[in-house]
Amino acid sequence: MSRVPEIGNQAPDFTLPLAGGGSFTLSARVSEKPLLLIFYRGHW
Amino acid sequence: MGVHIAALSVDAPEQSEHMAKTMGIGFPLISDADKAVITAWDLLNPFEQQGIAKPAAFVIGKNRQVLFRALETVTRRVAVDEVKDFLAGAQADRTQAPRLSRVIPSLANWVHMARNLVAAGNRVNWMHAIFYPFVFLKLQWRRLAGLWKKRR
Repeated sequence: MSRVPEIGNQAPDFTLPLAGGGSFTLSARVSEKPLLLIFYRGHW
Repeated sequence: MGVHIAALSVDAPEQSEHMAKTMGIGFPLISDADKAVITAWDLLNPFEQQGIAKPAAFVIGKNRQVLFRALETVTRRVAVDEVKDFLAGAQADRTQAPRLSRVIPSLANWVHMARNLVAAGNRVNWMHAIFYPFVFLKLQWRRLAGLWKKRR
């Protein structure tokens, strides 16, 4: 069964490195306004 | 519009930094080089390179609640307008996981891919197109097997 987060559910939190340095924490980023998070295949 | 934007791939931070510079990208690029997040979110496409993210878009609100999501088919990406419409107050109508008819490439998908092949060489997602239906069938098989067990 799919484990992709569904609408209304809570997405799992994560902290990952950013391009150009620094890190990104999901829970911190969504505290003030919504986040459009795009999953992409990567650069060729 | 009142949203942050970020994009995630399995590329190393240095690769993404290069891409951001050459393409003039102004939003943060997140590096999931260990594939931890795309695995946890079930968005791992294991058939290409050493595993990459399946294209998808989410709008995530307070407390990490998923407000909108769009899971992509073999060749299609979410239309920018659909996300904009959602943010402007439309219904999040792309909530369903892909149905069988959307997972198995249609003739239109193949035509689209052939065009991409001509335009962009071997960049197209043909491995995914060929193997993804089998993954789907395997998942359905597991689901049926589970139901069968429950009945007995």
